[in-house]
Amino acid sequence: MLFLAVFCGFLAEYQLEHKIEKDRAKELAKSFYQELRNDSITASVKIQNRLKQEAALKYLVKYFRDSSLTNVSKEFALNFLYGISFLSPSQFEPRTIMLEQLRNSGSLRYFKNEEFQVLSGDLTVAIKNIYHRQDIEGDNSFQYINPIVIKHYDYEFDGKMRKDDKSIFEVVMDYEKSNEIIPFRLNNLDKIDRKSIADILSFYSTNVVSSTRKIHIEKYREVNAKLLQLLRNQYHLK
Amino acid sequence: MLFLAVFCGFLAEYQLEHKIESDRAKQLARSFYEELKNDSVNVVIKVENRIKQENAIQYLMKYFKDSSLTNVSKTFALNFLYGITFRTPSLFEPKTVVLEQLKNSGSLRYFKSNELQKLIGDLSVAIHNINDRQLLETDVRYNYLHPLIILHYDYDFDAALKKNDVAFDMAAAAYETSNETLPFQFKSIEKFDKQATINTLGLYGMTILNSTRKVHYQKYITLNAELLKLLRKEYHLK
Repeated sequence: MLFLAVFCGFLAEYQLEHKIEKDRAKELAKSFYQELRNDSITASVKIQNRLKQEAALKYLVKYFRDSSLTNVSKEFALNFLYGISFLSPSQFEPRTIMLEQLRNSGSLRYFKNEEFQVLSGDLTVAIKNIYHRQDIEGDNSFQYINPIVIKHYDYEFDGKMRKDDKSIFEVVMDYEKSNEIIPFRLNNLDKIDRKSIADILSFYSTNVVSSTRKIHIEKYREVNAKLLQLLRNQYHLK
Repeated sequence: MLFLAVFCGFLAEYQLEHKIESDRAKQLARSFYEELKNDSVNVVIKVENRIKQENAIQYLMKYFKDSSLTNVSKTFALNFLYGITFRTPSLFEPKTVVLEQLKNSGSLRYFKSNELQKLIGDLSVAIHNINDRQLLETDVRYNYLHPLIILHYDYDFDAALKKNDVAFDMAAAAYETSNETLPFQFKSIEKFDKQATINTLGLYGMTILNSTRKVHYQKYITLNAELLKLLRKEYHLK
């Protein structure tokens, strides 16, 4: 009887261990699912912002090629802001707190599914690629776009727009919707090299901003969607 | 009786495990709460310093537009210091010791609240964004503001200001409140490019510093406040 009791004790402990691991996996899966779901929404917002930026850059390229720069319209000023001045609205920073926890604490082993482990690895790579890519965007913006801003942007227009304590993005959205027109004058008109600016903006839009969206962010979305589906199927999450 | 004893032993172990986890969660929550509370005070100071810096830059942009640079006032010298020369007072480095521990040790699972986990993920992203943004600021300073300082700043004035080996921020604050006026000579006036300087200050002060404060710091402040509130509610902290 004593041996049987001890043996049953071991069996029970083994089962308990299994239960605890299963519970932990479910808890982690739920948190990871939430993180991924939030980021899939954020990625969509960032893609919309990038599309807006690309359209603004396209407008500017065309404008710089063949239109008058002495009296520019409100539309030109808005496209200058969305295409050239803004950087943050298109930057995507995925949340990685659960992913890092899974990786660093060894909790990934609770998930017995091999596909899940492969997809988590793919997600890590996709996020690294996005960060790397956004670093390149920052460098390009710094090297090619900032000199255009410094030479030609109208900071009097900027000052008039930022009347209250709202962020620049809110202010520009309000301005876009309003009927108000704040004069915008390009500085150093005599130093404008139309062809060079059009080429820089084309390069920035096509080779930099658009590629990140179409390749790197898209890859992230694809892996994110697969992981969400897998977690839904395995852990019956909604 | 023997089976019952073994069974009760397991129940007790299961309960003990739960109690230990709950105690750990409370301990971590308390440390995290302290970390966040300290940073909520720090960030307010940094925001105030940034507002001072932005105002100084706006003053300089206006001054450069239409005022004489041959005899500059004490106000000009102080705004040059606060707007262009100073960097550290406006740098915010959030403490992340407990946050990193939560992420890397797997302790995040002790917090059962989904909202808490989401907010911690958001905070991590907000801190990452602040760090990225401050790196960008440093790059802009390095490439555009340092040449201005090298070309035009008066290091005789600087030496007179820091005569007693006082830290620069203390020296500037003491000078600001005193009645003393130290001569400040704007160097290399003949090489001064008015429009380029105004736009460089515009890029740094309005496009970069101002956006970091209104967008990225503000996001951090909001999340910090939400987390403090939630931790207070969930773990009865004061």
